[in-house]
Amino acid sequence: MADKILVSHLLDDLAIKILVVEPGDLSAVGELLESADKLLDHAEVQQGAVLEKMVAAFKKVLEASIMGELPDSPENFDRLAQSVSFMQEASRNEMADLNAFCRLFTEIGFVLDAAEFGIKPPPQAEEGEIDSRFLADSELLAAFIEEAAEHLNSVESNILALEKSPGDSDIINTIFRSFHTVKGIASCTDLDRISTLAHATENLLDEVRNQRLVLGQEATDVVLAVCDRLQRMVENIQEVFEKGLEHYESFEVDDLIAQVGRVMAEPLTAPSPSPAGQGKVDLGSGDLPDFMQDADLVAGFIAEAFEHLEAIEVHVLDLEQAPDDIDIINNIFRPFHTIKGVSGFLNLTTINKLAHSTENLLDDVRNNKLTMSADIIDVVLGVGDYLRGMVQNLSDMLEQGPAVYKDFDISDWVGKVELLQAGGDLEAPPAPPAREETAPPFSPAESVAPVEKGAAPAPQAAAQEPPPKGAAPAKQKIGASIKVDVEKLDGLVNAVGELVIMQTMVRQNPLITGIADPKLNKDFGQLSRITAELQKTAMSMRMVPIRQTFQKMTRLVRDLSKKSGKVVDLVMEGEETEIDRNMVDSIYDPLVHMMRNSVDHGVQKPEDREAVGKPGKGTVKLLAYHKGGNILIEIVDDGQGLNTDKIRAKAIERGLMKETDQVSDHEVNNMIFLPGFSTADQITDVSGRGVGMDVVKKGVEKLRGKVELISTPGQGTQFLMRLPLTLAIIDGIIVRVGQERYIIPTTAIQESLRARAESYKTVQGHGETLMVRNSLVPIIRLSHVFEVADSCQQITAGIMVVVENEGRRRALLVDELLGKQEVVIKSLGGYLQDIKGLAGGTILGDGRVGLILDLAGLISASEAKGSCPLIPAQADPAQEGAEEKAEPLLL
Amino acid sequence: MSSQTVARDESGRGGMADLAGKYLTFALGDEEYGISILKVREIIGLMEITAVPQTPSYVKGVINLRGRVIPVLELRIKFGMPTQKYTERTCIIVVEVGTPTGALQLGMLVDSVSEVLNISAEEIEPPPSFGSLDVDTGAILGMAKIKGEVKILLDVNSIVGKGLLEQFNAA
Repeated sequence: MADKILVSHLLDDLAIKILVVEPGDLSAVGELLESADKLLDHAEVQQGAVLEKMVAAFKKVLEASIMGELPDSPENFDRLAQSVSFMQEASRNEMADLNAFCRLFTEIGFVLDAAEFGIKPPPQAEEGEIDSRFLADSELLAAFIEEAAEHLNSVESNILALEKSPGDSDIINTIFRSFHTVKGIASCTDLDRISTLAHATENLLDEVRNQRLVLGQEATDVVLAVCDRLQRMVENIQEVFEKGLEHYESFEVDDLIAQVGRVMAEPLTAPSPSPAGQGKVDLGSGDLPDFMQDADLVAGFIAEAFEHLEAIEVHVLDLEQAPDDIDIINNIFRPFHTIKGVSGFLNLTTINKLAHSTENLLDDVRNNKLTMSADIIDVVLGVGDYLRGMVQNLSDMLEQGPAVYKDFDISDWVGKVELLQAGGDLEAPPAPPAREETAPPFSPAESVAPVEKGAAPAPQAAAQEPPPKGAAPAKQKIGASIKVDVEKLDGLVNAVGELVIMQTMVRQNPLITGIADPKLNKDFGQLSRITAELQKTAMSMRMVPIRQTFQKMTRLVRDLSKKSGKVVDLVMEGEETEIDRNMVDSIYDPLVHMMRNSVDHGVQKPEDREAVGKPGKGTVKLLAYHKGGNILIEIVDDGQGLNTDKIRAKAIERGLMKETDQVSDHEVNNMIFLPGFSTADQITDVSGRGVGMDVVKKGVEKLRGKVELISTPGQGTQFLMRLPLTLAIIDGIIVRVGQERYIIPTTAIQESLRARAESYKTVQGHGETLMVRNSLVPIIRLSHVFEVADSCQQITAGIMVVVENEGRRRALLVDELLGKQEVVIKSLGGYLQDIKGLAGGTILGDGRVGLILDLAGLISASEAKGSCPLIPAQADPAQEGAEEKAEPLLL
Repeated sequence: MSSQTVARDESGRGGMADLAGKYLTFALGDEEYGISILKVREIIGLMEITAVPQTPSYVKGVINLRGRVIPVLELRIKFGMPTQKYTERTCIIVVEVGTPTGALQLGMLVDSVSEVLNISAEEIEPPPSFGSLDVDTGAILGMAKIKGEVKILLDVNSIVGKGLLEQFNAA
């Protein structure tokens, strides 16, 4: 291992040195020679014959050029630099293109025979037989088909463009890149023939772009023929993918490869001008072993890798339930395989190595060379976590530059994996027969793994059975989805929101409302239907299934129950329920707290459960569904429920209620959400309940949702979380204060009423309060806090809106209620974002900006501001007679 | 104050060459000011402004600019001038400034907009020195002398950028 790393370091070193070397600078060439010598020493030990011979050839060329036997021209050094990259490939145990390597040396003038290396012809072993390996990873394959078709289409049009302006290096480069990409992704997906053909063509184009070859009529024809063939192959793969293996068609590629070879062998028809500038730059950057070169590719890999790692975690946890289920093992194997493939393609060697060794381990397991054990599960989970750290670091680097690069030492994990593997015989390639018996690789049941119901179906039957509810349909559609930048999507949603507002404005224009034309009315009706539809569609585009968030809970429950010595079954339903993607992150914390509560405190230990006649295995249900414009998330456990009496005692002790108060058990139970109530040590002694429940409530309120708790003693506890479907729209009451209009979120409003003079009290130290249903509620004069002029100062003349936030109730004095409206929330833009008491702005029906209140901020702002100079409630006798009784207003 | 100021001080008069270019000039009281045209997004007439509480007095509030909510500053107050009644020439210059969190649009309420001038490096002089007096010239890029008139060239970023941020954090 150490040698291998050393070799790769030496090679990197060599690659850099050769890039900076000046032709004719003998001492620099001498240094190169020294490096090559060193390399030769170590290559002998590690990499077997191929690398050693490559280095030896490299060294001979260097010696020859020092002796003046070979021209030390800049071109030759470019070629040498290229050869280093081949050596790097070889050192990574990849199939280096030795033919190309030899060709390089021949061009330099040093004849090297490929046969010396003992090269086998490219692996065409599966010739004739149906190569179904590529079907193993449907996701990757779908992506490949889509991408390859795109690239091939562009190649076609580019070649036609090239015929019009021959020699345009930009176009040639574009074509070259397309083939290069097709080659890369094809080799990731085990599509050997496509990859070989694309590779050969890529070499041809490389010659062209380095001006060693002129793309004449014949060559163009060949490239077009290759393109056609590749297109047909990709189409066939798509057919196989959609309809099944029987549609597979075997394509011959050797004839085209031979044609490509023939074209390349032709002597230069045009004298090559010195390939200065551009060619050199291209080669230089290609040689640097810098995996950050293609940020797009790396970013794609990062996103993909995170998904795969998540899938791995979920499946591993499934596997614990059914350790022999070959389907699940396959489901774990495949993401590792994909990560390995793509990371290899991107030169991410450490990730590649770790994924590869884990893949090997899993391969042994699924080929029955090893039996699944708790150790293996733990190691696979550990490797998953470690890989996640590495990928996270990559993503950090992409954002913040290479400075944040961390060196990950994978040898520890690789060691563990290899140790586990040591029991069995290894290094066997995936054995197709074994897999065909157990599960056809393209079985739909595997493609989207059902994570529902902890207990897995009978292993053998699973593949044949129709997929369970919620799994993907058997035939997958390709090209049915595109990736869109979130910003663009938000922009669309905003624009649609504006459209709806503008429509209302036009419609409410007095001139328009004055027209009594039935046609106009009908058209307006039609228009609003269309905009409503548009809004719905735009909104739904931001929605993602809640599945990912739920799946994270599986791991949590596993770890928690293991730690507390309980047996808990997590049942999930409605994972396909959709939720605003902006909310996904914010619901995670509350969910974790509630889950922890249910597992830690709700479900009892097995022996305790059996003592009360329940099955030893507890169940926690996690449900999600839509109801009345809200999304509801329930967490239900079958544990002991809350100890209401103790909570009541605690509440009385803390002065939250009086002993004589008639408070229902339900209300008492929900007191655990009060800030400070649950975090006290005593409450854990008392009922064993409630750590961080105020976090839950705060988190949910931030999303403008509500959380409630229903507990049945002895039967269990149910958390009910009600969230709005989207964060972009808020349901609010518009109120007027002076000339200003504010919007109060409806979820926070308890009631609104006209105050009577006798219910108004000033309390020492609390300022003004209002008696609402036998409790004193502090009054906030909005006009005072926001310094609005000309507003109603009389408590009895205005309207009191009673709001609740984090358990604090306040009565807001406003002039008037203007109505209820759904409004689109807008940021106040840049600097105005963090104003206390304001959550944002919105465009009201008349086109003016209205401000949305943030109650938490408003309450603290009013406390900071202190009470205003009191205006006694009875100051205006004229008003008083009119407003005799407190009349609740309808909302 | 800003790093830009420091850089300018070091480069002395030579730095004025960077300032040459097109400026939008506007009037505020008796003075004419100029801001780089590259910062200007558009000029709109006065429209209804929603006051935002808990902000410094020069923040007039927010407006609806075709669906976007953007803040509007009254430059008279910002520069410590007495306010005056709005006229039909009063308008809002919408500028775009770069912030660490991205581009930000802001409206600046001015008395009237004058013209767009092409100002060459020779016409620009560095901001005046007030000697030992403690005068903050951070927002002034330079003074342009055109046809005997002096126009004060302003750095939009330091008018609305840094100072604003500090005041808000204090508030």
